[in-house]
Amino acid sequence: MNMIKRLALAAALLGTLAGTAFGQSVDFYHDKANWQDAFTSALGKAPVAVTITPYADTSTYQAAVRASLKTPQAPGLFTWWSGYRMKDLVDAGLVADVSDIWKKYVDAGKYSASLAGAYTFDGKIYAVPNNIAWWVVFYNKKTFAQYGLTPPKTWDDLEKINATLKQNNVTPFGATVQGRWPAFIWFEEFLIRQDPDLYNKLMTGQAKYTDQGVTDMFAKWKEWIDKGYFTDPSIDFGTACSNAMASQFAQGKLGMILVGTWYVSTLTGAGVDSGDIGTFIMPNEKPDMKPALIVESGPLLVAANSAQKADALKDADYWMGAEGQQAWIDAMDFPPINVDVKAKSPLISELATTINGGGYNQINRFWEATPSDIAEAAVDEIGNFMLHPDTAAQVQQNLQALADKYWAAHKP
Amino acid sequence: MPAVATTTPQSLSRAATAKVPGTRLMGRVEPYLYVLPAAVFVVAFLLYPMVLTVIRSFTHDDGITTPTFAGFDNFINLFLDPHFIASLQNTFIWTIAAVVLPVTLGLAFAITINGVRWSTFFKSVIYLPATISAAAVGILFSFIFGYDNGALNSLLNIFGVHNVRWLFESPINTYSMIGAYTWQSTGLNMMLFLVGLQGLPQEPIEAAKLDGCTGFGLIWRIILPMMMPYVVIATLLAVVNGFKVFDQIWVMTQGGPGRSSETLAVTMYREGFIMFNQGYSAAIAVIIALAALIFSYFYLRSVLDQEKQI
Repeated sequence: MNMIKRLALAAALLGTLAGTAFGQSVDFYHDKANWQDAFTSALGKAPVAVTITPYADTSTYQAAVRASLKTPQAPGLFTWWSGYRMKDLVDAGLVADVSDIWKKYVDAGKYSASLAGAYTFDGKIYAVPNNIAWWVVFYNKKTFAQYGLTPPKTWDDLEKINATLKQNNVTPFGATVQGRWPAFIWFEEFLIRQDPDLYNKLMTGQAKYTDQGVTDMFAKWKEWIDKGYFTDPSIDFGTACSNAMASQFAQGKLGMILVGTWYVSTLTGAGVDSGDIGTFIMPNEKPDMKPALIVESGPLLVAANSAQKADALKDADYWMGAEGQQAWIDAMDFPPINVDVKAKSPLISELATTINGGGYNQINRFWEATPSDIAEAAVDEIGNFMLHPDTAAQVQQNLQALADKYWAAHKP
Repeated sequence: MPAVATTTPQSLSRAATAKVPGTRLMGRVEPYLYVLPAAVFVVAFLLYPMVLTVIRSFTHDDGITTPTFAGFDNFINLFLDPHFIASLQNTFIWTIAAVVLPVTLGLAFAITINGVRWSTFFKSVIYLPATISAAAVGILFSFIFGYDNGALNSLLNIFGVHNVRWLFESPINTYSMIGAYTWQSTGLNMMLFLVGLQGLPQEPIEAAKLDGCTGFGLIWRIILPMMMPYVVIATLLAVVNGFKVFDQIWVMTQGGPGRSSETLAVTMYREGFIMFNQGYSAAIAVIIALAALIFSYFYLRSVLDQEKQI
């Protein structure tokens, strides 16, 4: 073969290799290190190969992703947070519109259109669902059986359970400020049990933190704290070093934990047998209200400026399909959202039946439902209340000052 | 016998260099080539980011939209922000504590164990915490200060003392973290002072002993004055480190509860990487750098002036 032909063949081979090396895989970034294996399993058969990169620290992850989104080097797919937490990315034109993908699955009856609510801005959908978590009460079945308790159907039932556990030196509920963000858990829960409309208005600046409904909520919360129905708020929750809350739950010293359904693995990791974990949805304080629960909706986003955008959209489409979703649910035991996908565990299956068949009002979590400028500062104020329950009035004023400052500069 | 022509070394070198064009220029440039890699590194990873940070401090920048010029807004808003003022107060507490505790303890340990039996063992034990990262120290002391099962509360329970919120009540949380910081930093100061002690001239010390000066008097009147250069360096380093402290605070309390234990570095991180107010965060970084530089300048000038007078 003469030199020219050899050079031409070499160039062709190099071009093929280059084509293989570039543009044929999608970068997938996330900050949930312990979900790495599950992502790998769920995306193993994606149409375009996925390179999954975990970040160990959430702050570092957010900074790295935000810095890259304006460039073609942005990851094709990345996990993020819904609602207001992704609104600034949408407003800056940094995430791709995936409305067409949703339309395909909603029209086919595979997904409920309402699931896209937390990812919808100006009528367009900007994310596919990574995971849904329902915020329910986990209870230790052994502890309940020991004291003759059954899951409550009404608020009065719940108060009786609290009193019974307390009399027997078992702390009824876990509550913590450790890690800062958990401070909103009981704030949102007490509020939706009394007045979910007030909660929704509060999240968008149409109600005030100093309104009577919020004052009543703090009063109920303080009443429970004074009765000793909560752990000390400095208890570890597992978001940092140790997990005293899960340990006490396992040892029967703590009766119930209000948390997202993703906490099951933390409880089993603390030594609780999965068969001993029960769940119920908190009853409303007012009996004539529609049943409701807090839902956390984590999205997967496609970077609009990424060189991998076209391939990432193909993988996002696959992710929403039954094959990808079943592999994901099997790996993580999350609530299934594609109607063709079966729940992995009986616990999640029962919850899904209850919630989907019970007409529950699914309300977006505080962390995403209100602007992050308010949420980040609010958890510090609410944490102060949890540590010093006599400061409710001052905390309400401080919260309203935060809200006033934000909404003065932004439209709801 | 024919005369032997002699040449001087200078005439040899002039003859040699005159034969190779550009050698004189190369000789002048060559030293700079050796420092060029380090200089490029410093410019790229230190000076350039410093200049960018100063520029950013005069902008409103959220990292995803085009920054807008803000003039001195960020600096004005800083000093109007009660959280920043509280953060400044915490930083002063940390700085004073970082000087008083690790430096004093380090000096005391160095004087006590210098030359005694088993000194190698004691040096190793006291220095060991300095070999682990500040974040690891934070995690370790989070276990110690834990409310329910922490080692300290478990110990206090034995003596009938109820659980204490070591990390969740202000200002005890700041003092608890200063304790952790002292545990880690004392060893490094001790080593610095040991180096100093072992390099001291022995004649003045022997002479003082012959004159009957022993014990605390010997330390206070003879050894300490001779150790002053090391004390100056240790104090300066302690002040700068106190200004910058971040890792342990972030791991143990994240500046909480209610931002009560934030220092300037924690506030800077929070504003930059939690709230994404990167212009505001850059302004805090500029304040930290200026404060450290101004202190260092006046401190060193004062010490050097005193030495000149002596």
